[in-house]
Amino acid sequence: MHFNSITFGVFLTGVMLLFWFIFNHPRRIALRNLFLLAVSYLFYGWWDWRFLILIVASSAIDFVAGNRIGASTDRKKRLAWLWVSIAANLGMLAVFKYFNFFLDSADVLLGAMGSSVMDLRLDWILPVGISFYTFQTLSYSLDIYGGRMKPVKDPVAFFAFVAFFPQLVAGPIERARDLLPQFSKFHAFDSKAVKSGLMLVVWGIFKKVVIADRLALYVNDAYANPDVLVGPSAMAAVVFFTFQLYIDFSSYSEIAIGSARMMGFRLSTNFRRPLIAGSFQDLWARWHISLTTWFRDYVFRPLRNLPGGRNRRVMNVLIVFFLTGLWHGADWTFVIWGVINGLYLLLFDTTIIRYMRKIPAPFSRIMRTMFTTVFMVTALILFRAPDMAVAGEVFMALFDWDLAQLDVNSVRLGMVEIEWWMSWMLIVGLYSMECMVEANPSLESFFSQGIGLNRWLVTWVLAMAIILLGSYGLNVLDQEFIYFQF
Amino acid sequence: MIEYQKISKFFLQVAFGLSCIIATILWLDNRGVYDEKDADHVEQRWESLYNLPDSLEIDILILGNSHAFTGIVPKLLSAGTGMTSFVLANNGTILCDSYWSLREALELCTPQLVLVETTGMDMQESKHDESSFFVNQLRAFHARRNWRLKLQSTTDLFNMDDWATALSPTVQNHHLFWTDPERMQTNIYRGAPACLPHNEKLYLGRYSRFSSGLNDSTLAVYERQGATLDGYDYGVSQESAKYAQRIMELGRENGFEVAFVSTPMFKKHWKNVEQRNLSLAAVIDPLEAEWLNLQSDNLLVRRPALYQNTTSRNQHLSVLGAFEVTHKLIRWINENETWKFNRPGWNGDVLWHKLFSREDGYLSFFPSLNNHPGTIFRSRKIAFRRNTLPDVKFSEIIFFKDENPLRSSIDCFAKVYPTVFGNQKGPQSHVLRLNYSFLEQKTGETKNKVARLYFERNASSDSIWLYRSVLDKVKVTGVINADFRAQ
Repeated sequence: MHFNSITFGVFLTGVMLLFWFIFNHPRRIALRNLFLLAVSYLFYGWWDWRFLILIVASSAIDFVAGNRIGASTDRKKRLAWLWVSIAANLGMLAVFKYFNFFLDSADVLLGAMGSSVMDLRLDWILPVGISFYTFQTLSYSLDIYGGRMKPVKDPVAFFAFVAFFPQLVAGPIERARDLLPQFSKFHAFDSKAVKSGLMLVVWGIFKKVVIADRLALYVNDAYANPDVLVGPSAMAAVVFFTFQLYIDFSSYSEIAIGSARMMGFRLSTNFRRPLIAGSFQDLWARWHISLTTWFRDYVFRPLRNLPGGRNRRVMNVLIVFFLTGLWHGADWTFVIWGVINGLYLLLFDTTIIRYMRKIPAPFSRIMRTMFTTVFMVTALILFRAPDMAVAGEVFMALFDWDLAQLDVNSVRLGMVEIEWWMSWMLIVGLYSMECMVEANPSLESFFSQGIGLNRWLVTWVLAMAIILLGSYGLNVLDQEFIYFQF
Repeated sequence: MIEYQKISKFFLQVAFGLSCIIATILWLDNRGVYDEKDADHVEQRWESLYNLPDSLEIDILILGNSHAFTGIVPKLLSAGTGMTSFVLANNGTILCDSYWSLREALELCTPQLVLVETTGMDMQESKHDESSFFVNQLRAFHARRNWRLKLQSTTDLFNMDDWATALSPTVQNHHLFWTDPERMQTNIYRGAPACLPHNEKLYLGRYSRFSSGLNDSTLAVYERQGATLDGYDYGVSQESAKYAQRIMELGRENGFEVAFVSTPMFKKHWKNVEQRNLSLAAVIDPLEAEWLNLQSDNLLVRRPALYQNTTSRNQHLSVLGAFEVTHKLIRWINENETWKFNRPGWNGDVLWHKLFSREDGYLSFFPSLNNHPGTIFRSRKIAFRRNTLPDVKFSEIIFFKDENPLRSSIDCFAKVYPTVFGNQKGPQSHVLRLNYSFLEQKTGETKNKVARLYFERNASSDSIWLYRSVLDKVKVTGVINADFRAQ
């Protein structure tokens, strides 16, 4: 069930009606949580009910492990239960997401020695959202082990926390200590919050269907035929993909946050205008925040706290970015993309960006943002390309600026003229809006409340734009959110 | 304390907002801003069914997919059975679609026999994601006009995510804004385009597509690659079986017979075809319905000329093949003694004969109408002195005005009782030379002319061979002589 589908609209409406009229009652919190658990499993099972077993198993293992860790004072026992949780969750990831990747890589090495392990390949599909919910449930065991929270006794609340449908398949990756307590509270109906949640959902769908999916048409075409790309079209492809990725994923987060907010749940912010970041460290503090803080808290800090860890900053950063890349996809393109971003951070933030900070404002900020964005955009070629060869072709095409040979129409690839200009207008408009909010953060509430117009009117305009201008339907086959594949 | 009033107010606001969105879309639908209707045979079929003359009742309704509308000739079937036949088939239709089309058709007519062409009974089911299949399903759905039945069938035919696309042209064709804004402009200023009626005055749902048969190079592909389809890969989906059962139930409720027809593909197109027959039989036999399986007709499946020139999976009948199959169907229906039909053509229904008298195959099964206004000259007492084949006997020779008044030509038909052409290959190997007299308008003199008439294989029946030619428009006064010459 995709967020950008009628099925989800019907599902969400039904859930909201039942939630507010029947289940959300101060004396029926356990029943409400059971209801949320049931609808979350229904949401997930709509895609493939068989993989519910994995969610149930991951929840059960972490519920037991968390309780055992919390109940024990013996460090060895606590550590043993923590390893049970880590092994179970990462084991699931290893089998379902990385097994074939490891095998392919091993096969390349073994191929040189004349042997092959390809017969061992598993013909399994990747369970949707496995990278998200395993990290979420793992954070629970890690937090209890680290003494940052106490274990919960209510299994239904815990299972509902792991499977909470708005953020189950593509985040934000919530910390148990933030989200879990919300399951034990009664949520009073806050009309303002519910309405702003609804508007956020509609805004998220608008961004996904009208902007991201339209850009996807061009990007898919460009990466499927890298040989036809020249400088302008390659540049358009990489810029479009950067916006597509950002808009696609941030819109998913907005729909998730909005849906949860409509039921009185507060989810964490996942994106904070990352394309205006002034350095690479700033970029990763703004992009997929719930994942980067997860790695910061559970990988980087423990590495730093190891004996001599503070002296191994370079190694620690590279390990985190290697894992970030690997988390995104079981392919070397993702791994290299992750490591490149780590290198950017290590090399540029301490040198060029540092010098740029000495230039008077606002030029310093503009230059730093441009510098960061250019390198980020270029690295994302690896993120999008199906393999290194295509990535290489797209990268080389960026430097092919023989304007004498240029056919202006071919730059648009398959896009009609109005579609091409509208795409640019939409991304420039969105970027300008983010720049304005960055300069004046109070504008955020102005935009989220409907730019001074009646909020219902704005919602109607957005809904009609989705229906009439959206990229969906018969000829648009791939409408999934990009982060579903992770 | 739970504030139910606040909650209710919010949901009422949401409901109002949704109503505004739906109202806007309905308004756009109604204005036809996003309509794409044109001369599409799927639309034209329903257009024709809805606008058939009041005097005409559909007696045989044929359901199925493209194999039905290319493989069965309804006018010939009508002439051969004396029952008005209509092909209500669409591209890529599965049985679920056919069932709902039948439901709608039953509100317009009361057929006595419903024939279900079985090519659509395979493993395909509604609600799967293949886009070409979905497009066909949408076209068929859009062409239907009964909103009550369309709404009822929506859940059967489409996934929930596709309901809006199915029900609203605005949602379905919203891409026109990008791809064809001129069309939208035209729709806004001139109104939605209407479905263009079919150029045949009496359109009974046929859509002829493949004029030539399998050629040598295509036949060589079979030799190289073997059969395209394997009976072991064939199966009938549970959905098809369910809707076959439902069609039978409709038959019982509405008092019509249901029978199944399998149009053939070339023999080399299938291997293990008996497995495919068994799969179909497993569904059809328990229904206790009649089944004409022409894939088992050994003569029919061996003739390359009868099949579309392709080895791709979906091989249709050629035009010639469609006529051959229709003749088989006519014999099968006429020879079935358990069916007691009311046949307007055989009962001398004057209006029926008027409608069909100039249509495909009519002259092979019926004498030309005595009072047909288009008749220029007719001769039924024919005995020629210089007949080169003494055994040949003429039933009729008729000269008709061309039905299109803009064309200055006449249609000449000679109806011959089947005979033996010596050691020649048959009637098609001969041309009929007809010497006729006519009145020259300028001089007022009577003159003679020889016309060459060719064998009309498609329209001829077992009992009549038809020869035909189109001649310049003249006032024919008599037929003087005729003889056959080898071509």
